[in-house]
Amino acid sequence: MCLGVSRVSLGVKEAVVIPREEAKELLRRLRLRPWQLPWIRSSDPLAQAVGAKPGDVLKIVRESPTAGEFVTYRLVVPG
Amino acid sequence: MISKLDLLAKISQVLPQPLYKELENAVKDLDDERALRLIYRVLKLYTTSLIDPGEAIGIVTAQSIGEPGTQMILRSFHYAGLREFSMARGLPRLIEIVDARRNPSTPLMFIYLKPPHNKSREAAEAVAKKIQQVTLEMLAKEVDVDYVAGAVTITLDPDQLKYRGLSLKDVEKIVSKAKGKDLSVSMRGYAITVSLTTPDVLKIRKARDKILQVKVSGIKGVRKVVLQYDSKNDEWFIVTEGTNLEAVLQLEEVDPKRTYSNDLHEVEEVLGIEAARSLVAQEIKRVLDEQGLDVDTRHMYLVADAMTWSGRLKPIGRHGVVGAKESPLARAAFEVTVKTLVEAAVRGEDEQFKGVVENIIAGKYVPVGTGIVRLLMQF
Repeated sequence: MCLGVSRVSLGVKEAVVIPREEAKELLRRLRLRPWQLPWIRSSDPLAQAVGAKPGDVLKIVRESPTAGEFVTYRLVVPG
Repeated sequence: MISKLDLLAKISQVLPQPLYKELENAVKDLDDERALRLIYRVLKLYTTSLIDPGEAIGIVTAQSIGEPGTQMILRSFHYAGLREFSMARGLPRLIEIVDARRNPSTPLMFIYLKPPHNKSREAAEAVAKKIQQVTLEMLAKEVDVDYVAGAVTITLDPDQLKYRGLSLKDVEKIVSKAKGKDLSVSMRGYAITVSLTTPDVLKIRKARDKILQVKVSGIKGVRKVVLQYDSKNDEWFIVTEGTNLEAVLQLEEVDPKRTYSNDLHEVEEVLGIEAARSLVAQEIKRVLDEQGLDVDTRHMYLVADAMTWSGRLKPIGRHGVVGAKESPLARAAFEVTVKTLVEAAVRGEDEQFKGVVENIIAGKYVPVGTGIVRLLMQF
């Protein structure tokens, strides 16, 4: 799913919900429990724009002054 | 021996993009041997300057921002230079940011436009006119209050109407809608008359103030509009005093990717927590840059991350980042010790001794640096 254009803003380049399998693999690689990722509320405009549900993992590509592009993940939490 | 291109390909995922590009450029004209020496040197410097696990980065950040912060000005000026704009700066603004205040003292919006609207002053001005809130007060030439008859007469200024690109009809439309409970509004030519059904001195004053603030056109909350030219990108953009990001983003001419306001909470609500995170870092950087202080951006991003990881914007302090700590001792060590301890006791909280502060209080090793490593002995 692609990001609604209107919500690409201020250092956020791209955001997608990653499939369950991919999320599992990611958490295994980083040796994290899901809740140890940074959170994003499901009512957040960015989460709404990509249609993320609580429990999903959102992949966010940021613009970074030091690393060029930086990929980060956020766990969608209810709220 | 490995060729320089092979080696570059191998490390393309190791180095961050900008550094990699720079290295690629530098190596282009070198022969293999010298190129390899350079690449290995860069690799070594890069890997040794990475943060180690257990490094107390929070303390480093606190000191890196705190020390230059002592040199900052305490006053916030109103400066005449930048076309009647005042802007909170220096320490007051920095405090506002880390406290995530709900109402910034000087809310500003930076509106970028899509081409072709950003190419000429005239085009940008047309958009600016659409954005600026125009109240009856701004259009009025004269306001008369007749206390005996209980009526307010507002005479409109034709020149102002023309300048704002409004016609009498536009005003009439708005005015006719603005009818209140016990007052009647009528319009004849340039004169608007508001009369109360029962004359009352206090009420008529209130009615006058209210009617003058009626919005005729523009976006609510946008008080002042200034056009600015960015010579680097050869474009015009709009800076406004007073913000209403949601309404501005609806406009067709506005570039939603770059437009933002300096109100952290507004950005969180309209653009999301990720955007708020960048804004926190960007605003701290702006404040420090203005004072001529050079602090690495990574420190600012650490602060921004701490404030936003939970999905909402939290201030640094008792009600935010520190208040969210698990350890009751760590919370008690920060502010209002007794109250915090009593509340923790009432709730029956446990002390896990996992953090730094509580372990210092208890006189144990802190989980930082080498203290973070746990060893098991094998007999």
